[in-house]
Amino acid sequence: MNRRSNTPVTRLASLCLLVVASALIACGATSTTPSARAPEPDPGQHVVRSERLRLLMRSMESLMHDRIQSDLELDKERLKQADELAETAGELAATAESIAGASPYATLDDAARARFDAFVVELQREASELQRLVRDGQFAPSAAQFDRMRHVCAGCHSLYRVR
Amino acid sequence: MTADANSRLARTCRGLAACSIAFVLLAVPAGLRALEDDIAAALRAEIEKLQGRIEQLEARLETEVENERSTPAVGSGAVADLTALREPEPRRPLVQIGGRIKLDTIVNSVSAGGASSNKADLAFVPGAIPVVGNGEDDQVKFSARNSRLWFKASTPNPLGDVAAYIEFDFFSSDTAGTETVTNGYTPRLRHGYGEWRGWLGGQTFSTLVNLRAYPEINDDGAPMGAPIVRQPMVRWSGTWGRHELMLALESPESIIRDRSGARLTPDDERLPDFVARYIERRLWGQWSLAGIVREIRIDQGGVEDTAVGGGLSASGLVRVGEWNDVRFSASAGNALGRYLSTGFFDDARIDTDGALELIPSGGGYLAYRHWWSRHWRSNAVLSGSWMNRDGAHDNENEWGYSLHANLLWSPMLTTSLGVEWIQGERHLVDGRDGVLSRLQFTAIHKF
Repeated sequence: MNRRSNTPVTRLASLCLLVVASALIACGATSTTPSARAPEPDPGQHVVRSERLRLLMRSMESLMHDRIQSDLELDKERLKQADELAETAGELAATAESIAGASPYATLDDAARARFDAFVVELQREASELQRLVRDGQFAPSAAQFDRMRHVCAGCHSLYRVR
Repeated sequence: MTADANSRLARTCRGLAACSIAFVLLAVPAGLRALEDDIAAALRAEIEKLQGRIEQLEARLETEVENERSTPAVGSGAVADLTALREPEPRRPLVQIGGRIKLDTIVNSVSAGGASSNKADLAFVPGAIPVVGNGEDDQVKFSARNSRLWFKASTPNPLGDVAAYIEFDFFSSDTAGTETVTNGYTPRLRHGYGEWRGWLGGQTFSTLVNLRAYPEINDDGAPMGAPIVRQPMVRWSGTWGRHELMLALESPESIIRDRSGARLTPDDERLPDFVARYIERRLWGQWSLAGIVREIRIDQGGVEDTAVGGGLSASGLVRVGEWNDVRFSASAGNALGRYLSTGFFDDARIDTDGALELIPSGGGYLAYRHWWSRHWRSNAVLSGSWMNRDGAHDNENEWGYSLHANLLWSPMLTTSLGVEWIQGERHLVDGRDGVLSRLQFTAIHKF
């Protein structure tokens, strides 16, 4: 019996079983973990969207000073940039919400959290309005709305941005 | 009446009074209770009726909410239902008018002179810089000829909207206006084209010109090494995400230097110029590569020959942070002549054997823009171009450069005021050269 269990074939079979079992456990672990947890909050994504939005807004403003393209060409370019800008504004608002789960947020007291949450709501409202104006092709009001949104950003960053 | 009768009457009255009191004390409350009961019963009935009505309404509301969830939202409640049922209003053609008013005040260090149709005094045309000894020194010019007017229209179509665009300025050299009295100038067609589902037909900037990488300058000419041509064409454009491809057949024309050194535009081509451009857009900007293949042909003055050549052009725009951008273009080839530097070079020359010899040439620019603030910005553009001088005549342009530097102020998005310094030089094969310095004040209002 002992001799049989020590044969190379049985040792190989045991090894295979061990590998398969380990693989199953590992697969089980990786397949259940992400669905069980909420997405990791990532303030970095908020920063990325914010930078992108600033660049796009500047780029759209630059188009107003273009002297060579025909107005029809400019319309097409504006449309492309407006699409991207509207999408980024929406993403920025969404990422602001995800910051609420990040570690600096966890250390805030109740009053500070409430104030932060109010900023998030305000940012989402301003970003939605920016999205709407951009999609409607109202550039001048969009620029003013972008400024309003920047004030919300500045207000929040002055209190909560981790330096 | 007897005493007995009186006493009976008194007893009867007392009895009646007692009965009355007893009735009041017993019957009225009983009646009131009955009335209260009736009222209560009526109220209960009413409440039951209302409860039934409320239940009915709740059930109806639930049904409507379910219906709304299961159908695409177009609004809310009954209004939404009506909106959904209403016939969509037919879209009408949309026509818009716009343009710009531009006033240039220009101080030239040198002028080729001549009539007011000499556009080289108003826009940088490298080939028109007077070489040493030929120019007229110092000159001031005022001009509103680069004001523009455009019309654009969008016509709805079930197969895709059709867009049309036409634009004029007053920069024509066909008819010279007099500067002495009226300053009237003929309108000139800049753009005139239609677009439908990625197809463009008509006149606009050549596909070889990357407009999105073009620097912002007051000058209505172009930096020395920039491709700049407007002409009729048929173009197809396709976009896939960040990638764009353009393929175009464009109007051919050749500039050929004959054996005596004279410049010809024979207009003898049999094939269109073929131009392709690829553009990739990124958050940092975009880059683009374009290629052209052309037939250069002459059939006049006893010379009949054809040559096929081409060129490549790489260009792009790179945003450096929020407040800076860099634009560039580099082009080279053996048939780029009329496309580069406002026709600074020829496409080909006729050699001693009477055959066409293509002329290799190239050019490029590097432009940097910096925003000092939201309303103030500056541009600096350094540009140059050259050609291969082997076999060239003495009077051909060999190389040149230009520098544009400006400071612009836009108090409003539609209005800009600015000053620009332009320095340009051209050098001929025989060693002669000419230098132009220009100060250009510009006010533009777009409407």
